[in-house]
Amino acid sequence: MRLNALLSLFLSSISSVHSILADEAYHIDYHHALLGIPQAETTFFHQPSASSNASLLYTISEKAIIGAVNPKDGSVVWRQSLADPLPEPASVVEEAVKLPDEEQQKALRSIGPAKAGLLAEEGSGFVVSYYGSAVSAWDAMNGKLAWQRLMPQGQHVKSALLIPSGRDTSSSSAVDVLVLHGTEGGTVTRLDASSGAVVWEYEDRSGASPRYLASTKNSIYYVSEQSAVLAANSMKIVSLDTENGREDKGHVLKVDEVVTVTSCPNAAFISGHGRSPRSMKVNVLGSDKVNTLNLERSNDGEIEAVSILPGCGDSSPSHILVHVQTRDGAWAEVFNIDSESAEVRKAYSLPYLKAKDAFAVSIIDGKPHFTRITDVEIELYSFASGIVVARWPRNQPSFGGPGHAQAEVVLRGQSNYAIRISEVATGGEWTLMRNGELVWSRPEMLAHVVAAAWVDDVSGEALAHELDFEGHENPLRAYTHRLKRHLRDLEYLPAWLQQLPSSVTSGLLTSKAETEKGLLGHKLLVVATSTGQHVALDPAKAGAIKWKRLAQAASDEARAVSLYVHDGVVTSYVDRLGIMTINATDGRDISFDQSDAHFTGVIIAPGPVAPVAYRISRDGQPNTTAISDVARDGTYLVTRSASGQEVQGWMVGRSNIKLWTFSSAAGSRITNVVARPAHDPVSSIGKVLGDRSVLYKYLSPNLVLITSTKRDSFTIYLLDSITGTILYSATHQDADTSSPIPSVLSENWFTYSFFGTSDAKSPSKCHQLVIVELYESPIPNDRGPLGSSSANYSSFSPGSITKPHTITQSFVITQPISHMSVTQTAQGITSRQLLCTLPDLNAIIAIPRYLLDPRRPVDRDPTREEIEEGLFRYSPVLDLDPKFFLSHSREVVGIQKIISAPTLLESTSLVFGFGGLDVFGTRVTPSKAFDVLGKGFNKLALIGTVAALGLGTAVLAPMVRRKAVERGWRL
Amino acid sequence: MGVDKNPQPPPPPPRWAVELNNPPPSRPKNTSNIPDPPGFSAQRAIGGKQKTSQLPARKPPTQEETDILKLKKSWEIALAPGKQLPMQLIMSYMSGNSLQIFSLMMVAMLFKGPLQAIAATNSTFTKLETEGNKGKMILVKATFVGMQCMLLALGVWKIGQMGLLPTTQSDWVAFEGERICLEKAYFAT
Repeated sequence: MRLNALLSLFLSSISSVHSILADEAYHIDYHHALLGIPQAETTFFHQPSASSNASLLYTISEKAIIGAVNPKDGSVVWRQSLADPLPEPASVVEEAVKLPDEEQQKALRSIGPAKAGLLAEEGSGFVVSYYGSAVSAWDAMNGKLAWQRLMPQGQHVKSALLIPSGRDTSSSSAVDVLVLHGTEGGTVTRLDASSGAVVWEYEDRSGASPRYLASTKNSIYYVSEQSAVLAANSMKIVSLDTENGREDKGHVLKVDEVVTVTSCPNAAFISGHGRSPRSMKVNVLGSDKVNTLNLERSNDGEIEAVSILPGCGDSSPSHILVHVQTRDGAWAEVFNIDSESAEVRKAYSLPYLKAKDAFAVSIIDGKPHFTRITDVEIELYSFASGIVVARWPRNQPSFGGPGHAQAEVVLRGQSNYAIRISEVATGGEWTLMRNGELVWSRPEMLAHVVAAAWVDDVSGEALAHELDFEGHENPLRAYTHRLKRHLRDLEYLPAWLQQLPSSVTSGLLTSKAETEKGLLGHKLLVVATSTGQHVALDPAKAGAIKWKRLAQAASDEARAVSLYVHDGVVTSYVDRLGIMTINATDGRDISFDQSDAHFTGVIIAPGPVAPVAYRISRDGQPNTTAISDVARDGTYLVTRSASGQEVQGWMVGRSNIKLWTFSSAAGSRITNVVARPAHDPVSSIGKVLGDRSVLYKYLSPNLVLITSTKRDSFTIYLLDSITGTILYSATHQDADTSSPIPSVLSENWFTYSFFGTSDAKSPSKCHQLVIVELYESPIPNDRGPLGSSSANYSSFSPGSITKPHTITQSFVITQPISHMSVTQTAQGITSRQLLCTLPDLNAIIAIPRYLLDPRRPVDRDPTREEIEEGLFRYSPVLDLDPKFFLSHSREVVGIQKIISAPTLLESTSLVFGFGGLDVFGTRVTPSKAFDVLGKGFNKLALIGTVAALGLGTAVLAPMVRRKAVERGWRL
Repeated sequence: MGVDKNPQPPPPPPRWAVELNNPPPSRPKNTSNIPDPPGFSAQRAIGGKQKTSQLPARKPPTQEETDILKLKKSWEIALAPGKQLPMQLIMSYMSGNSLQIFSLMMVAMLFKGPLQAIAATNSTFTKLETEGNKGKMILVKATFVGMQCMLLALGVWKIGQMGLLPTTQSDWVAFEGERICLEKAYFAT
């Protein structure tokens, strides 16, 4: 403690800005540049330019990110976000709260969710995407936006197609874009794909809700759903003239619940089936004939899912593959579609396999070939007969089973096939296999990370326990204990001696990076995604995946709430699913408890024997699994109700008593509740001033900071969480409360950031960062009303809750901050850094704490004593120095949470950011790496010098001895 | 058996030897009123040792006199450090309050010298101490120690100036404990 205080004093005097050195960038940090889990319909291989044969993988993911990936190494060539801002992840606060009123909610429901689609035509040089109400064309090579067309407000694009333009290709592009949008009565718009200009528009005034577009070489079909009152499940199909968009003819067709519309150059068709289908109805658009296809097989179980894969070759007839899945296995039926007679005939079936599989279609010489991917092998079927023509064993099963896949098949010679498969596994991993061998894999499930926790290396803990024992025993017993321990350790001596030479040589040869890994400790990072995966990342190995686990019976609604790590066991609390315990070292399941799986949060409190997990129900009430399983008496919890609008203080133990409730006032909402980090050591209880007097810090582990927003103002409340007393509050008028107001609380200070006016007189707004420091008393050397005794106190005893003396300063920053966090080190000696996410720059920065000192002198130069204290003149604008950027030149998109953890080295703190899309990790040394030998240290030179000195001594010693003897004889 | 054929007479003694053994020639009458150069006495030169012994013998000092003498001497020794004080003061002032090797060495000397001197107080005065002045010597020694303490005080003042004395609150803040709240609140992770 004393040493700590001295050290921290020394360290705080190191005020130079630490930055990432050029040789550290890309070595100490790691970044998974993600796209999100690719969607089946919007992922394909495509050649971006006509001049080259090389193709890229294009996708629009579930996160509405459009991007191109190099199939050779899996690196992102370009990516763009279609949704701005990124879609919010499911957070603890329920979605309904986020929408202010019911009207808006209703409006949103009528529009329906934003649908994404991606279109590309060979040789056109661009890809066209639609999402929400925007249609955009992107340069296929570099992802630059060529043009964008916005549909009228509130009209989502339902479907889009590329059709041949039929114009002179020298002046305009060879294809046009056909877009369907609207809610009641759709509009079909034909856009020139080179400029986005409208060619023609067709408006449907019938009031039917538009659904699909389809096209063949000769015609365009517009499919709309009749209102349920008139006729349930009936579709109106209208064919349109390609030249001018005039309505040709139309007819109404009755189909089943689940409808798919597929376009091929020769035939477009609509298919429908019930929820648990035995058969399927297919209609070739343009005819009235409805073909019923029987899908049932004997003894294969009930059909659960049916999907259609079109195999559109140039030749007629077109093929469709119907992929039928039962509970245990799957098979496929291939049908021929005769566009002339509008008949659908069964061609052949592909065999039933008792495994999960995925199908992909690829066109070779204008003929569709079907590829079947299972966990074991890849089979390529002949297009004509359905016989396997090529088979490749897989060297690695997919994560959670094959989800969907895209294949690129090359035929060399007569029967020598080569295949490249891009597969998106159910677990969210995107892999590319060449002839069955894994080329790369992208962990796209990490785009959905909602919770993360650090796992400590447990191997050193036994020693720590023993040392702890020795520290607390009487000297004699401790000594004998230590002696025994060393005697026990002797058995490892021979082995240690054996490996000594090799460890010495390896110690000389290993790079600095490897030595540092040993110094920092072997921490693992376990993350849980909203889609039910648990993944362990190794921060020491550039964030490589150590293990991954898919939750059993994960559902779309399940949502990981909290991760808790204890003794090498990860406990994951998943709302609506249950509690999973996983071995942290290898990811194996230990147990899975599905009882009482509804909770919005989890609090771990110490119990008499083992830590007790309190689950927070929707109304904020803490519960334990068993009545007997309770925390120690005098344990207090702070909970937040599911709506987020109530913060409650509880005393738990044998009975749970609600002590206080903090509710948002009428017309305001609680947006943020933060407490001090669980691990937040303070090295010095006071701040030493220039004249060597001490300002005592207001240190309470029970502080909680609540942000409550109104229409155009917000208030920050600092509460004592035991009694619920408000210790401090500040209201900012004319602030933008629609953007996030991040805040962080640590040690004896808190900061928050917002966009608002800086003073009441001027209307101009700016991004501001406010820092508030809390002290016991405004007078130096005074420990406040509680006096100088360092005795323990109870929050409930009269006069024990004192209001802190606060010192505040605010700074203007040039960038909005969306999330804040603070670095943590083992003992809190190292000065802290404020970690902030800058969403506009896609960056993470670390602002040194000394810059944010509210005692900086305003409008005058600092006095000598203030300089000694490390204070310098206040300037209202806080420049975000490029040296602050932890993400340096990387584009770290959508970080919504940053966590930090101490390492074995006091100087170093690990940082990990996740949440929206990317995951990023690095390590920071806020006071420089003061406990590690620098790069300038030359191990070889040192050893060489010692060796040379030893050699010199060895040579000179006999000479000196001889001389001494001679001198003795001479006298 | 060679005998010197013509033995030469021994050479005459050098002049200085002759002059040393013989008295100087008597001075001529006309110069008798010129005084001898200081320190030269014709009688002494002639008479040698016999003359001196005829001078009256110096009276040996009494015990009291030596005691007084010794006491005087010891007072001189006792007050000597006090004379150093102004010089040391100027030196300490001039050397500045920064932590540098010279000022540190000076401070070290400021401590080392007086401490050694205090330790060696008795041995310093043993030669001057007699049965008679024993009582008075205590005062002398006390003065000596007092003077050294003044030098020590100067050293303390100096390190105080350098900020090395734990006299401010900040020096003790590390020893103060944090106030621990008996209640502890836990928050959702």
